[in-house]
Amino acid sequence: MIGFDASLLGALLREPGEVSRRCVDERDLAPLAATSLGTIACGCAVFGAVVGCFRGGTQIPFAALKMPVARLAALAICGPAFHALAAVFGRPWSLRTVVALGLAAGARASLVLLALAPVLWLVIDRNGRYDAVKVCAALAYAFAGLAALWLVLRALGRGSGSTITAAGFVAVFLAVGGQTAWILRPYIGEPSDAVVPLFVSRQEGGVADALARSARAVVGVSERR
Amino acid sequence: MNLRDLVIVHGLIGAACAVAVYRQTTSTRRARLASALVTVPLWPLWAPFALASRERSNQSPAVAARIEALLRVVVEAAQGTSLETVLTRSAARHLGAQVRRVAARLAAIDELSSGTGTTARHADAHARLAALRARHADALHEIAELLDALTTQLGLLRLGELPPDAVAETIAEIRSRLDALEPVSGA
Repeated sequence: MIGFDASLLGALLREPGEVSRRCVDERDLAPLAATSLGTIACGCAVFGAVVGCFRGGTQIPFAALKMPVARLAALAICGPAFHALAAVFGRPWSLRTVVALGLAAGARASLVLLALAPVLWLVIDRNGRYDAVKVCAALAYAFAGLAALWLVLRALGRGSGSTITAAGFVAVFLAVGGQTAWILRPYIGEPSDAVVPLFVSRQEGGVADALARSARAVVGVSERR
Repeated sequence: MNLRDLVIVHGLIGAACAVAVYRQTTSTRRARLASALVTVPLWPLWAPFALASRERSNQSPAVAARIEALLRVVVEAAQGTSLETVLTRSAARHLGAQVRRVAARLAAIDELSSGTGTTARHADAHARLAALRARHADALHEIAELLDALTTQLGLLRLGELPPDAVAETIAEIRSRLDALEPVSGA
């Protein structure tokens, strides 16, 4: 029943059109779902471990565990919303198709994260600052997101409603994925913390606000408080 | 409900799904156990696949369902235009029947493809099945795209921004693509 099919990894990277068509046709979805789940777990775990390397110690396994959990939780929450959006805009796909598509896109993104992990590792190894590491990790996530989006766009085709459906998918996933990741933070660990907590309990504002603050810090704009 | 309550409820649903997965799937004991264990935390993502152990080979693929939905939209969109007499409900039913025949053939190909074999003859047969499948699947996807375009064209026709001939060309193309598959699907 569960089987990791390594040949699907190549297809996820090189043949997104074929993978998306397989999802839409509901063809042989169980191996695709199993492989995608495994890829998301491994890819995100490796990327998480690299992110955790900034602080080292227990932060490495914590981040390695939390990254895949955040990604999978976001996909699980988004599934029904994607299903509804696709149906509203002329693609009455089954829930299995939508979940398979989400998993395949997530797996593609995870492979990109895996590929970018050494780059982030290099930044950390070259004594990159906390904010620089945060922005690099966010950029890696953005690249991974684009790779996932490409697979989804291939599934949506060029017919009417494809742009708005894709925009809806992106909006929902950004909101849900961002918030899920935010709940499970920290992944890097603030330099000011003597001991990095497993979860942050204090109020800190939203995801967008934190990213903007880090970007300002990287380009040297002082913060007004 | 706090995060802990949510995790407990998630786990309880996952445990119930895991029992269903273990009882309903028909593979080896170890594979069933592994599938059930994965279901506990990942039931929203894994249960839809684990509980549908046999692919729905006897049902139309999603693209066929999409085409049938688009045919209904096209008939509605043609109402009140000069092509109302061409794009009738009866014509849509005929096209829908053709699409279902192609979809049934696709399902039959999938059923044949699920067989395992490692000899060169098996590999050759699988390659031919894959090519045949790709031909039929591509045709269905192209027909869906053409129907989508036809809906837009009918809107433009209604607004007087497109001549009826241009729309008729698309209709003819859809028919010819389906007819091209018909001799094969009727074999």
